[in-house]
Amino acid sequence: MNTNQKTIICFCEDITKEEILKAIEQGYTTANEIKRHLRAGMGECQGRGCMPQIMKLISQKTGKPREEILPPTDRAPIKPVPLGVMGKISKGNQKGV
Amino acid sequence: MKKTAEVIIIGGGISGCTIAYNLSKENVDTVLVEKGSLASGATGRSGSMIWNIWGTDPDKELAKLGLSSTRKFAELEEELGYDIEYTPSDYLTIVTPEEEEHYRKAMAITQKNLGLHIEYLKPDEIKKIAPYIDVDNNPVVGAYHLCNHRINAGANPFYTVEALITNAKRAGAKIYTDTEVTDIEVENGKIEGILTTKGKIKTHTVINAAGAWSSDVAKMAGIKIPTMPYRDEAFVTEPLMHLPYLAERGDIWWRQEKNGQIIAGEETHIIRKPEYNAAASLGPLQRPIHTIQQYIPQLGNVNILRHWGGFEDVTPDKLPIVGEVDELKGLILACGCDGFGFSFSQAHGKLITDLIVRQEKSKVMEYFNLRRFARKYREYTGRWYDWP
Amino acid sequence: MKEKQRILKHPVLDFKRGRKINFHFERKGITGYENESIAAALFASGVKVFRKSKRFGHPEGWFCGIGKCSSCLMRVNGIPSTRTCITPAREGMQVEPQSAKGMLPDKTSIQVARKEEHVQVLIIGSGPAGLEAGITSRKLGLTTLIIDENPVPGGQLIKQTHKFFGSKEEYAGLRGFEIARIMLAQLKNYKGTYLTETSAIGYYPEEETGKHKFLAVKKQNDSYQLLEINADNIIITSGANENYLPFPKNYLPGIYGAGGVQTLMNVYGIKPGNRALIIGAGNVGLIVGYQLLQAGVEVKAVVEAMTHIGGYLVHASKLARLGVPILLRHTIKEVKGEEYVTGATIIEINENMQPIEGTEREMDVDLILIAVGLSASTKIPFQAGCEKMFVPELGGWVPIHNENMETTIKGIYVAGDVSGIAEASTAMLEGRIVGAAIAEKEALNPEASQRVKESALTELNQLRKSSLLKAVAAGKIKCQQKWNEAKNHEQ
Repeated sequence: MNTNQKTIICFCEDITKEEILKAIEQGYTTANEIKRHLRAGMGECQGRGCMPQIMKLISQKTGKPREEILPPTDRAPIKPVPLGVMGKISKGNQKGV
Repeated sequence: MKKTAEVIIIGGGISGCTIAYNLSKENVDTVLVEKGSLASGATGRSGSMIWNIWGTDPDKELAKLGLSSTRKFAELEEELGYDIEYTPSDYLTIVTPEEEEHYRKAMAITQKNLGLHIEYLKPDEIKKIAPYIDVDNNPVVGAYHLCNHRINAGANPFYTVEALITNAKRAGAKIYTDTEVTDIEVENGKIEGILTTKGKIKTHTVINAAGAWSSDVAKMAGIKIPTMPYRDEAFVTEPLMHLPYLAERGDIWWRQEKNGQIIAGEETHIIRKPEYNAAASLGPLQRPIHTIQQYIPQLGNVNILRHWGGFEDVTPDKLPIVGEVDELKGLILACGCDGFGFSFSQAHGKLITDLIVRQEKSKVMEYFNLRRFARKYREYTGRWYDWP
Repeated sequence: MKEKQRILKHPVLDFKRGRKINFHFERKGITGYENESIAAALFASGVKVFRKSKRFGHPEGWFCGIGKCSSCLMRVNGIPSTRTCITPAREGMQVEPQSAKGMLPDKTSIQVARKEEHVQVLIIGSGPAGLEAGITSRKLGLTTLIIDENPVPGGQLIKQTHKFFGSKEEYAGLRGFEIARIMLAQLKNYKGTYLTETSAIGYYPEEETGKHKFLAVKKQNDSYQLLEINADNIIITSGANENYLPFPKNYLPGIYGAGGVQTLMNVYGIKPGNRALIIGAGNVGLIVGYQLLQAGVEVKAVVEAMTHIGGYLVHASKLARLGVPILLRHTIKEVKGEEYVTGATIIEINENMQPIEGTEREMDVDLILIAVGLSASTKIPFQAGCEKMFVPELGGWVPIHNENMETTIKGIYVAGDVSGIAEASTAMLEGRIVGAAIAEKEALNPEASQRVKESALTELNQLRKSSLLKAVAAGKIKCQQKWNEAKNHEQ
């Protein structure tokens, strides 16, 4: 196959469908594991586009029902925020989630 | 699941995985059990810094332990045949006028203890090699630079654990994830086996590498160890071009990953209550953010992508606990690593393998034995933190 | 300066472009208009490739158009990784494409002001659900703060040129952008704050009291305002994300999401291409197909993998009347082009969704529009820790919520697509229910609040009896059952 014929799943980190299928075959069968193994979903869009597709691929490939494939952990900031802005919060009383 | 094993390691973080790899390489029949997934505790949440301790005399043994570990890390990719994104970091330790005296002494000790060459740079020289570091608007008298040793580094924690476990499995180790240890069977002062959520395994040797959960694990064997879970936080930015030198300041740790992202946090000294709450609150990130911005002001405009919390396991003297428990032969500890678990892991792997395979008790390992807490260890290590 | 991408005549929309402005892209002059995003102005000037991808160096261009993906990241005035699709173009700006890793910013300072807010209701998002929640809660006397990330308020409504169905109360017979205008005008009748270009950062409850606290950041030109919002109640109306479709070369500029295309042509009046192929015959694909024709784009075909048309027949017939073939059991096989789309091959598929060789057909297109459904945009409720469940009828993972739209965290509510993919009229009703439920709880005008809520609920249940919303109704019931289970479990 021509190299530019790739099917991209994670656009931020340039992860292909083939790579994701291979990872699932190797036993990475949760969204969090795929994320850590391939870095898919860890880029600038914070996994918005690729994660639903990755969960679908895991389900298709493993035969597990969709409800068993949990979404990865969602962390703040929900949108990328400049370091200098994050450094301006009033200190102390947050518990966090 | 296997019914028996020569050695069972509890905990699939960097320590446990390194020990599993080292033992299985020497043909020890090894089993590793992990209650979640590999690197799901402190390892995967850490900055995976491979760094060295700037010495004060009481930390000499710690510094040596660190150095031997970081040297081993430098060879790990080749040894394991795996890209673990090992990335050397070069730091300039910024010195302010008030700290001049303190740093001069500390650096001299480090140089003596570790045999490393350290150079001193004046502000103009800092500007020349790292023009983005702001020395004009900060009280900087100079910076120390550990030249050409390339021992400060970092690696991808998930890839590192993956590489170690792939090699361990190849050498025969059995790895059970999503398997929680529920009890350790002790009869007549001897370990007989462990009970897990997936079944029972017989063994006479258990290695406790359970990190923040290490005191719970030790308790199952009837042993009290003074480790405590301690919450810490970190953040990561968008990828950025490679910065050849980073400014090092106080307790702030940071490094640039292979893909250009900057990961940072603070080495904790603030005393809070021990907890298993991995919440991310932003509060503990204020100091690292301010420090980074202070010395590389341009970074104020770089985006943070994620921030999170995790736990370290700390001891009252903030030094690790390594080696066999006197009161219960067969229980070996590799825990209490504070923020240095990743850095020390390769040394732990070697020390514990030497102990199990060759019955070698090195001086450095004996120094970190649990028994120090039964003695007047405040004088022994010179360090004591009043934990709540 | 090429102006041919600009839509000058449109049967429905009248583009009131602002003052002309000039900025620089790769040191070349670009002319855009005030209130236009950088990415839109570039696209209108014929710039199709926005960046090269990190590992493979693939060309990437316009995609989501609403600041969610990473295709349009550029260096703007010396600051890397700027989302150019939601950053307004300004006179004299220096815009440069960004390689894999951003260079260090030029600017050594950042202007940030911190502001604390105390409100009874914080509403995140200003689409149909958010606006209606805002109107209702303000009408019933609650202090309300609405934040939205986009420069133009109204969510997806502002891109809709078709007339809505449903009941009069939800503006049946009016076009989406008209509805947005009316709702915004209504909102202004009541006191309250409305902030655009304000992104949600995260939920950080207070340590001792457990009180809700939400962080948001407003961007104002080159400075930022950090908002620490203490809110008794939070309504999340973050809408949906478009589903992507995996196929070879799916990264190529010219392949866009339906929402992104709508933003270009209906918000900015820019032609997204000349000859289009639409993937997906659901409502979105059909409606945007018609909108493309209105914008003067030739629509070559709509292909659909299923054996039936997913959207309303009215929309399908409109396209069919204008001679656009809707090809069922077809999919895209291949895309042509190096820098951007120059053609596509479609292929028939059998009942097992496998392509049938020999049925390939070449399409002379420069635009491929992906309209293969939506997924709830759940980052905000999930980061906050709301419990979730997978409901196929609602488009996938959604926050568990009850009839009042309250999640498993007390005082945090959801409404609209974030609570399950449906459509605009039901989103408005859900917004109204939340607004009234909160007013009822806060004991403001309890009788009036209850009346508003009850009538909205009745109307919602009525709407959900239609053939296309039956499944949604079933999904919502599953959700409510799960909510009850979770609450019983707590006790």
